[in-house]
Amino acid sequence: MLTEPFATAVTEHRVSAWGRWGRIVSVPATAPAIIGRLARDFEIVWVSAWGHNAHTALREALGLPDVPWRFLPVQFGKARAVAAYAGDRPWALVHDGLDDEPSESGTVVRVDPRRGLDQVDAEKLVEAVHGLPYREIHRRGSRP
Amino acid sequence: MIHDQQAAVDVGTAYGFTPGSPLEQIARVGPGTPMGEVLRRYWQPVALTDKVTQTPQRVRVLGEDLLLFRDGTGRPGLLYPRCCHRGASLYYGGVEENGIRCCYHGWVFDVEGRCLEQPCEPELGLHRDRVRQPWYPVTERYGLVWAYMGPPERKPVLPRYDVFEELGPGQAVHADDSGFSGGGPAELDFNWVSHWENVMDPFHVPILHARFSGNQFVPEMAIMPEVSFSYLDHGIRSESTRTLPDGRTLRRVTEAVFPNLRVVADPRLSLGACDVLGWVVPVDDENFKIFTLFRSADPDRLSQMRTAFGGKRWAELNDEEHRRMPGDYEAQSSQGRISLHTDDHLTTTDQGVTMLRRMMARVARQVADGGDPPGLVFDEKDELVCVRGGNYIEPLTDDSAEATP
Repeated sequence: MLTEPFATAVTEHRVSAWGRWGRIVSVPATAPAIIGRLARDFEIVWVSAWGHNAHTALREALGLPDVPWRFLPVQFGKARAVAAYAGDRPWALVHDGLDDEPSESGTVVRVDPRRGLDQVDAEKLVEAVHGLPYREIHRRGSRP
Repeated sequence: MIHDQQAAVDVGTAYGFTPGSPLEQIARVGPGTPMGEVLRRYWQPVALTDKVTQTPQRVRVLGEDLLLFRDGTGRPGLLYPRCCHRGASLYYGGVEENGIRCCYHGWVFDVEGRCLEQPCEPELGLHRDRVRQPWYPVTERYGLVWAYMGPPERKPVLPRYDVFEELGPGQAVHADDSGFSGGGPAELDFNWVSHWENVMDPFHVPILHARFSGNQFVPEMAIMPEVSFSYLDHGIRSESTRTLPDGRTLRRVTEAVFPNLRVVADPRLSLGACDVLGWVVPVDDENFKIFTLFRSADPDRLSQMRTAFGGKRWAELNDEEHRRMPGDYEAQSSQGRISLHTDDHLTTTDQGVTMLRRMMARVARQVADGGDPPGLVFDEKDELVCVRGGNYIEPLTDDSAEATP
């Protein structure tokens, strides 16, 4: 979801998760394709304040699979949490949060909240993570 | 086997727990801090007009200690208190027709810090115009004294609000500094953000103010709402929808207007646009005040609206009653003098809080980069602000258009 003023083309969606709240969000028009490409090489996990609601809420807007991806229940220190989850696997975090996410073992892709995933070059990111030393890429679903 | 081992070991104990930290960029308000610089770009209420007299009074605003007084001609002044001559406090000074005289060597400063007199010097100070006591611009409107503490070249116009410009018969605009909506003392002893983000937290209402402490407002507020959140140019809006027992729909529209104006629809459900507006003004990082304006024919309307706990006012409760019937003050102050935001586990029903924090951080960056924060008015022709928050009932008919703002 992007923050105004947008710096890229967007599509608008009214999202919710099992009712109770609703919101019109704008996502980059390119986001579904970028996520689809990343999902071919990465196991994607949510690290969002939206927690388990994120996948349900954004499924349609982003063209996500029916079975939700996992989520990590953290909102700060996300890079640390992803590193712990990834174990010996290489990893990347796409981050538009308020705080910095320093990382020693993976790649943090800092994106402008006005552009979001549109700023992610999926091919380059896959290539970069494949190129991380001494680690073996585990295909999605093959976590040891 | 692994499963059994895990079950035998306690998980999540407090042993070794390290507390988190505040989001400094939104919590701190002093000069030079990101949010402090945002707050300084707007006119801020600093006192009730009636309370500013010829007796100088110390005020602390946005972490700055200042001196507020009214000169003999009736003009309010807000000065840095340390006399620019040799540092004695002007708090001990004497207010005269055109300014305040320092008790130490008698230098006189007007409400804009000009030195008018240096009585020990030849001809009352031949070079007195070379010094200036640091001052801030102040003005009065709606029964409040407002100060502008930001960069002089970006001083905006003080806005007017439509709900205070269009008065009904017998109505007047009244000002209050008793901490209305804070649920506690007049000066609240914790970080302003804990209160400010509560404005965008509609889901606490049916819990804290109904289920937990009895109906602190009206029974309808015990109904769990469905809430829409949205970004506005000037802040965040929540729209809480409740289906009332008679089938009608109540829409409660609340806005957090930048940088610190709460437009909270009356939780006692008086209908129409919100005519009670509150400015959450930090005293410093750990204290704040709420200056409230309201429109009414009854100057006591606000005090009648204050939350009662089992028939008692907050100040009348003993410790056990505070524990048993917590309200906003108990919930928010117990988050800490400055909340440890990084320990929070926000979820989607905290979305308004998340949106507000994100917008605050974005605006702070914008200001740090030399831009203007949202909602500033530089031209008097644009000074009128329309208030959109309020309670609106949608009737049972299909056509509910007239009920919407």
